[in-house]
Formats: sequence, structure tokens, C-alpha cells
Amino acid sequence: VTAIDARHVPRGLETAFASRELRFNSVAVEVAVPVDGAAILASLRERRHDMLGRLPVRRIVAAIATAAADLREHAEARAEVEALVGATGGLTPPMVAALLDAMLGALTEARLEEFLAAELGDARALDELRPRRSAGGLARAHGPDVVVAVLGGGDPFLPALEFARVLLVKSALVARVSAGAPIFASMFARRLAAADPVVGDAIAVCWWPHRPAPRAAAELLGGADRVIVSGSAETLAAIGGGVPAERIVAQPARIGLALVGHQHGSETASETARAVALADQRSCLSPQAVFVEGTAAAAHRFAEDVAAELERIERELPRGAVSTSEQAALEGEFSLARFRQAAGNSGVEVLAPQRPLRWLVVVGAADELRPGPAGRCVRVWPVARLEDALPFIRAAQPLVAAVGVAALPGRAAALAEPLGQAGVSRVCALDRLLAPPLTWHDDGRGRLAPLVRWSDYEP
Amino acid sequence: MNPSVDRWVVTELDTRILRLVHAPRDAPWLDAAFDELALAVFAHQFAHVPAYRSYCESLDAVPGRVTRWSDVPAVPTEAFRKAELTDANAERAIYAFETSGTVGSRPGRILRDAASLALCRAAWLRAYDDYACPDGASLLVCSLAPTAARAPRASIAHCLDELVSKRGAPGSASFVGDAGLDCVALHRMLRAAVAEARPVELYGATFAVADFLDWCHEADAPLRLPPGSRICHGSGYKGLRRELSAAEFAAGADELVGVSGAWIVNVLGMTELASQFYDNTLRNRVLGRRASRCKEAHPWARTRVVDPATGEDADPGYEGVLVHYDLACRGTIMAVQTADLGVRVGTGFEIVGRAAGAEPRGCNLTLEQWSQRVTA
Repeated sequence: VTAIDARHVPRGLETAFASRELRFNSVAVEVAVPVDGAAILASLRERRHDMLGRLPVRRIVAAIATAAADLREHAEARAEVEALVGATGGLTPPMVAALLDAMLGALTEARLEEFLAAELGDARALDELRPRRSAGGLARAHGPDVVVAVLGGGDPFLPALEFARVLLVKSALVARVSAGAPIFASMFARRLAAADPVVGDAIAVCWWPHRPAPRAAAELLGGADRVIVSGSAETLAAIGGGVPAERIVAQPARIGLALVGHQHGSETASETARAVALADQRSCLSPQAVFVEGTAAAAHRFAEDVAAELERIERELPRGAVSTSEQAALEGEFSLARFRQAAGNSGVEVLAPQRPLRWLVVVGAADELRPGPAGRCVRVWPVARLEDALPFIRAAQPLVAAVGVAALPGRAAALAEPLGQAGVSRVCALDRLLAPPLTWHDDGRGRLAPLVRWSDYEP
Repeated sequence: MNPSVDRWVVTELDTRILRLVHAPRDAPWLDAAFDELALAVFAHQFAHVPAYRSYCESLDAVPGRVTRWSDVPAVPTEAFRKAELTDANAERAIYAFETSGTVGSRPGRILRDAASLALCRAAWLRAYDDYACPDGASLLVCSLAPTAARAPRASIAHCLDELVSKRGAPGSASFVGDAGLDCVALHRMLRAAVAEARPVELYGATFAVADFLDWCHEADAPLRLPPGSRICHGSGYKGLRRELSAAEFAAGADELVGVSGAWIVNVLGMTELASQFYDNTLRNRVLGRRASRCKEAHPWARTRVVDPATGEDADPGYEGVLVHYDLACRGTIMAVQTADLGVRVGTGFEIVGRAAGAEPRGCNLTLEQWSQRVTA
């Protein structure tokens, strides 16, 4: 069996990369490893200056939308993505299909234009000086020359979003893929190159080991104008050393939560289970805990409904392969919960299928919020009032990124303010938790703001 | 309140456990003795540790029904944070060891009375004799952990006090003071040992040793410790502030203190356990064995590598969760499920990782907190 090609190297830069075969989730993958960081940076800077930087932003919008639509709608391309991403990412085919539609479906021209307008006020400010909306004078937005993006491994299609935001500000991109999702970035890059060669020639998709990092990687990280790093604290620490702090855009691992009000819809348990199951709970929006308003008995009933739904979803969107390390974490959580249940610890109850555990629901008194073991494990915590969840959220910050609420509309609106004050950057309906709009102020900053520099002209 | 413990029964159990701790490793009766004693210790803990009893009952694994040591229910290490798991009445416990905890979270508390600590001490010494000093060398033991007087709640401190006082040659001591690891004093002691050609044992958490090696590097003061010198280090290469590779650690030890290969011995120790598991490299050397580096069972302590998907033993070469069965834990719980991942290797097992999301292993954390105090 030949290795899957996970390389995308800009034309003319072939000699600045070496090829190497690696195994991710026991699948052989051919990756490009940078060998000459200085040459890559110099060439990408030149391309950005002479080519990509001169494209009108609407042409970049069109290229991204075309690439996304190609992958999503052309049967052959789509089948290839589903097969390869599933094999290397440990996800089952129905799950890959669901995630692919959610991510690529969001990258239409209309949505991308909306995104630019929301973040910059006027998308054309990336092309030329534009009148400022609520101030006098004109302003222009400049992206960095070269961005290095160390991609995360949660949602395998997330690279599309990272590509979009970097390319929209007309920056050249070096993307280092994650071992958890090694393949999609190169497929997307090749589609971008087919849609618009100028865009494709400003992207390199590669890989290198964090420890010890090769010299070329250190050159790339040290010389890039911005370094976007997604991932665990370990990844951040491994990268952080060689990059000046002001150039790092850190996206540490975050979690999602669900708040379920006293009065909620009949679909809430099913929505909760679906949010837990999507991306096998590896997304940084995946809910790790559910606060249920009402009595302990109500929380137990709700947990039973969620458990039944997780069991049902296992047939519709079955969980994929998990590593021994993830399964061990799930098993550890299970043993501890059973121990606490037996010891009569604060009304703990464990709901789980037969081994191997493919999901886990633990009911009990609210506790310290922390990342769970993933693999579809959720804690259900009763609270007298939803507002009682706030101290737990405040204590955990900056861990909690997003909160999905299932309650009467007035309750969600009333919670949005204190949740925002508690550091949560997104409050939404529970069924939208895993499908954030492009326009989300991700990490409280938005997606373009950390990349863009403004220059003003006052005539 | 624990159902009252019959001192005579406990004394008899301890006598039998100590007989195993002192047994020759090739005694033909070891397996049968372990099996029988494991079930007796289980019955004792089932009877006298109420939270454990409830847990076992919920699993339908009770004395009489459990017939093999490997079926004794193991408690996850996190359970020590949630309940008091000891057969000693609190007022009789004279030692309260704390497991490491993340900032803000409650540490686990492990209570030991004098008899329980006596079992620990016997196990510490026997494991040390067989694996850290199988050649019977007279070693200057330099502890890179604080003394028990400074850190009464750290079990590693008690262990190293015992090794320094019972096994160390004159001059053996702890080199952690109020200000943290005293690299200057340690280096001075090592220079003297070099001058007198006395072999040394550096013993401490991996990161304490690494910090000392860094100090030697920065001070541009490398040493070549006398032949027979060795390093025993525990907790592993992953800390809070940084991560080392085994190769980086070994290269540093070779370059900066002249200790390499078999003379670097990794030690697996946990507050929740009484016993420690050492790399077999020095023992292999002394016995003239050609066996691969791994950690080996003791006559009184065994380890299973359990496939988390099935709960059964993982196939050889496949990763699983390490579950220890340590009879010297008579006073707490003998079967402990860890967050460590391991594989069966040669005559034992090796640690290969941690469960996803688990904290770095204990002592490093504590030691990093100490050394942070130094630099603060």
C-alpha cells in the first residue's frame, strides 16, 4: 500500500523540503519536512509581496469558496476526503461526513464576505484605503507577510478555517499539520491551488517533530511574522520558546459546556448527546459538563435520557478509533465514578454501556471544571439555578470557551451577560454549540484582529 | 470509623508480608505464597476500609468470590482524593502522606501508622538492595529530595531518609534546604568524592537531577564521578515547566557527571504504593544477564498491564494501563489502578506514557514547586 500524500509544497520550493514517511493511527502518510527555513520564508515573502498581496480580496474569497465547494460537492473528491480523513483521523465515515458538511458548508462567498465585513467593517480595506464607518478619514488593513500555523488535531476540518483567515488577510502560510489530523490540510491546499494558482503557491503544508525541532522549523518559527499555535499546553510550551511573545497567536485547548434550564425543549437530551458525540468530543467546543437546573432527581432523569441518546447515536454516528491513552483516561474516569458511587459520594451515579466503553455519563454534585477524557464522556451536574454554574465557570477560566444553553429564550439572554463577564466568549443555543459562525469572536478577539495591522490616512 | 482492627491479625499478616519482602527471589514457593497472601490482605482491607468495601460490593467482587490476586478490585489513584482509604484509625496514624495535586485541587491523603510504615521501609530497602545497589557497593548517597523533617507529607522524603541512613556511606545526606536544591553544596560534595575516588549515588526526582545537571552545565563545572557511581531518578521526563527526552537526560548525565548506560536507573514510586519498581539494568549487570531494560515485579508486589478496552491483560507488546498489586500496602489498598500506560517487556514492564489529560507524575510536580521557590 502506498503512503497517503499529505504534502503541499509551493511550486519552485520543492528543494526546500524533504519527504518523509510517517505513521499516524497506523496509516502511512508522506509528509513534507522543511529543510531550509530561510529559503522558504524568503520565497513566501516575495510571493506575498509580488502576487498574493496584490490580489483583490474578493478573488481570495472566490478561491476559498470554490475549493470548499469542490471538496464538498464533487462526489469523487468528497469520497477521497472522507476515506482518507477517516482513516488517518480515527473517525468513522458518517462522522467525517457530518463534520465536513458543517465546516466546508460555512465557507461560501456570502459567508466569507459577511465575516470580513463583521471583523473589518469594510472588506475592501484589505485592498486599499477605505473611508472609516464611524470615524473620519480612511484606513487600510494589512496582514502579516508570512504566518506559520501549528494546526490542532481536534476537528480534522479546522485547517480550512485557519487557511481562510490567514489567506483572507493576504498572508503566505506555512501550515504544520497535527498527528491527529494530518491529511485534510494538503487536500484543501491542492484544491485552493486548482482554484487559483497564486493562492496555492503561497501555501506550504508540512510537518516536523516538536521535540527535538529541526533547525529549519526553528528558522520558520523564529522568522515568521505571526505564529498561530493550536493545541495542548505542551505544544504551546514546545513552540513558545523560540518565538517572541508578541508574534504568537496562542489557541490553547478549551472546552464547551451546556446549561439546561428548568424549562427546556423535548429535544434537549438528544441535542446534548449529539454535541458530546460530534468529533468524538475532541473539538474545543465539545461539552464536557452539563449543568441541569432543578432537583438532583431531575438531573438523574436528564442524564438517563442523554445516556439513551448516546447509545442511539452510537448507531447513527459511531465513535471512531481512540488511542490507548484516551481509552485509559475514559476507563480511569469510569472507575473513579464507580468508586464514588459505591462510597456514597454526593449522589454520584454512573451510566455506561458494556466494555469497551464507547460513552460515559456521570451524574453528581458539581465539581471542578476540567478537560474530560474525550471519547464521549460527559458529567451531569444538578444546580438549583443556572446562575449557580457561574462560580464554577469563573474558577476554571480561561478554560471555558463556549456555553450552549437550552432554556426559555429570556433565560439564555439573561445568562449571556454574566457568562460574558465570566470570560466565556460564546453563548449560543445548545444545538448550535459545535457549529460556530465564522464571525464568532473566537477567544474573545475575533479571528482576523490578531493578524491585522491598520494604517490610517487623515486627509 | 473503621471497624476495629484486630492487632493480632494485623501483626500476623505483617509477619507473612515481611517474610515475602525478605524472601530470596528464586524461592520456589513465592507464587503460591503471593496468591494466598494477596487474598488474605484483600479480605483484611475489605473488612476494614469501608469505602473500599462498598466499591468491591458494587462490583460483586468480595472475599470468597475473588479467587485470584489479579481479580482483586483496584482503586483508581484519584480515589485517594475522594475518600480516606486506610485500615488505620485516624488517631493511630502518625504519618499523613499527600499525593501531588494540581494547583487548587485537593491532594490525596494516605495515612500510615507505625506498622504500615515499617512495611514501607522494609520494601524500600529490599528493592534498593536488589536494584539500586545489587553489587553491594559502599555508596555516598546524595538525596535530591528534602528530608522528612522538611517535607513530612512527602513519602519520597521518608524513603530517602531511610536509604541515606541505612544504606549510605558516611557523608550521605539530603541536599535540599530551605532555599531548594543546593547545587553548590552538592557539587562540593561530589568534587570531594571524586578526589577520594568514592562512588556516589544521586537519588531524586528526574527533574531534580536534570536541574542539577543544568546547573553543572551553566557553571561550566562538569564532573566525572568515580566508577560505580549511579543515578536513581523517578517520576519521568514530563514536568510542568518542560519536557525532557530520555535521550537528552542520558546525554546530560554522561557529559556532566560521567554516568551512563546501566548506571542510570529509573525508579517508579507512588505515594499510593508502599513499594518501588526499579530498572533492572544494574541487577542484570551483577547477575551477568542479558535482559532488556525494564521494571520487574517483587516477591511481594506485581504489576498488570491492562487493556482499557477489555479490562483484560493487554497482549505482549501492546500498551495498557498499569495496575499494581502491592502487599506492603496492607494498611491502605493493595490494588491500585494508575494513569500510567505501560507495556510488558522482557522480564517485567516499562512505562510508555500517561492516560490522556492526566497530570505529570507526582514527585516532579512537588519538586518543581520547590525549585520554583528557589528562583522566585
